[in-house]
Amino acid sequence: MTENERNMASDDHGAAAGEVAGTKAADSVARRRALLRGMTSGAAAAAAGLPLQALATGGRKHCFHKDAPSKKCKASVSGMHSVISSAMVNDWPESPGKHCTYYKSSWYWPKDGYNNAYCSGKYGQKFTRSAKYKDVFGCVSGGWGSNEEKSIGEIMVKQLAPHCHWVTACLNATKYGTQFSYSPHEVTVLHNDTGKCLDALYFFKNYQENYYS
Amino acid sequence: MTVAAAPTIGPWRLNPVAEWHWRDWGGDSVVIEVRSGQTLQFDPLSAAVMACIEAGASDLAAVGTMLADDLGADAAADAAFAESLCTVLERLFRLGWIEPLPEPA
Amino acid sequence: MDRAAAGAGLTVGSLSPERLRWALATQGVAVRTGPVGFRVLSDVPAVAAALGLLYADHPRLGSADFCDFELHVRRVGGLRRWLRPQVQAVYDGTPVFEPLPLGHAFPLLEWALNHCVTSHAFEHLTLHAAVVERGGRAAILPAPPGSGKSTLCAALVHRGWRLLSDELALVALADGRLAPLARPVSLKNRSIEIIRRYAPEAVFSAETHDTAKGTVAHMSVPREHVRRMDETAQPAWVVFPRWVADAPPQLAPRAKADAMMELGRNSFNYGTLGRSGFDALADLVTACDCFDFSYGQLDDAIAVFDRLAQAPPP
Repeated sequence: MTENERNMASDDHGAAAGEVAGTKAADSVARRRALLRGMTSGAAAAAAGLPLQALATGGRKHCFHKDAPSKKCKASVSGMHSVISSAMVNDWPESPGKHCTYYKSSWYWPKDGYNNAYCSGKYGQKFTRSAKYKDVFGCVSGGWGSNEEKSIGEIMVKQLAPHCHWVTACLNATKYGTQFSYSPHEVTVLHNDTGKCLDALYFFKNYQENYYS
Repeated sequence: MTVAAAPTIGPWRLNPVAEWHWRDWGGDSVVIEVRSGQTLQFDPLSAAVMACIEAGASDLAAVGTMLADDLGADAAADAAFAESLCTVLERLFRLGWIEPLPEPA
Repeated sequence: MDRAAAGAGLTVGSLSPERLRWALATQGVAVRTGPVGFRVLSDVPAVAAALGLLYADHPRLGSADFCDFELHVRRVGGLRRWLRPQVQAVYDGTPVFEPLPLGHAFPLLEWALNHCVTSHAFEHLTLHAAVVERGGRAAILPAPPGSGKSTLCAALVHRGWRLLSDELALVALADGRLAPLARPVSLKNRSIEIIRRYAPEAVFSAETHDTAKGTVAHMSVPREHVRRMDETAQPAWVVFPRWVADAPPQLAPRAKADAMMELGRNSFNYGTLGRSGFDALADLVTACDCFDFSYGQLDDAIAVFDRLAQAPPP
């Protein structure tokens, strides 16, 4: 880290709607110049193309193991073992999830504005049923003939495990949006994290595939 | 409720009940919208677009002019850049941070 | 166990084991750890034994002193008293967790304490992170479970770094400084043996097997660190650690905005605090150098942290 970066205090800017914009014009110019310093229009546009990172504030949700519906727990990979008292999560909304068999048919997949079935994946991009698993998750291929080279549609029709559970997690994240425990992009991040993927798979398969219809 | 196609041309206004606080570290920004608690990390362009709007820009042309001054004349002629502006503005509409200017009564 | 009182006041260790068991079972024992005071009541002998061992140097509060929480760790009644006996933690009349096997009583107490602190420490921004300090400057190690954070923390504690907490970073909203909790370090599975070998002088509780996290044991806090539990520390580094088998140590700068978002994801109460949480978090990353850190050997990790501490402050 350079000396300049170390000494650089963060700039704090506040704005309430309704403030007279003209009085902030000079501040705005200075701030915009600082934000865009050294950038070309192309680089700025490329950075803007990525999804926004958001904090899930106030987003506590609960879920339950499919075999123990009365035992609620925090809806997260680290929280599935939390075994929090059911009384404490009563105010928390449920993070629901359909079973992987629900999505065998494209009929039940999320649809875009043109009624085409799709699933969101890495970076929140939309993928059709013909998209390859490795592209949806941004992962390496297992080689010719591997499940990573198959389409997500085929994986769900044939229920090829464990890949079908990962696709189900993305489909549930797509279908339920912020109700679900993770966003589609976060599911792909968990998938590719060697330290977390096993726990995450267990979580999605056992705590987030509770509904068959 | 379905969201209609974002009127990214304008005119728009800032959400009158929202309040934002930004922290910048060079080109990186994190912002909180205080009423909802939404906290987001913004890329430099998206943060600059919001800065334009907070300074009074109420349509795409005004935002484009301000940013062309900041980035140089190339930006004004760059079609991909213009498309990015629309993407950013769509995002701000979806967040509920800007809204179409209401019709006069 | 004969221990001298730490500081001017009485300590948990000044009670004989019999007296401690009796006090826990009747009016409770009030203990202070940094800014937090709690009263524990328990009829489980293993809780008394672990408290006497791991909190021996911690100051006791008097009956008139304010306690932030009162926690009951008691055997579940009815058939469960005899058939696969269970224990439950109750805070303010409400169970904090589901009942656990009786043998898990002390870990249950520690988990319940973590829960109470994170649920109620509104003068602080609370982060799921370990915190260690040297030379007045603190390193925050945020990390989800399984990242090796506690193992690294335990190793640092026995190589010249002061323990503030292995689990919860308390960032004061008023001034951004970090408050120590100085509570036992929770280790699990292989980490227990790793730290036993790395720090043979460390004192451990009995191991608890078959918990949701596997085998768990708690390492006591060095007496000197307990003695300094009222010394807050200035945050200087945020280091996101990741243990990778046999990996060479790699410390890579992380952009502050990125670090702020990751810290926010590891916060227990950011959403509740609103603007003040945002400001506290933003001020924290502004004040700190932020890094991603991967390592495979503890000695390598210690060397990297020592180099951080040796660099002059800005």
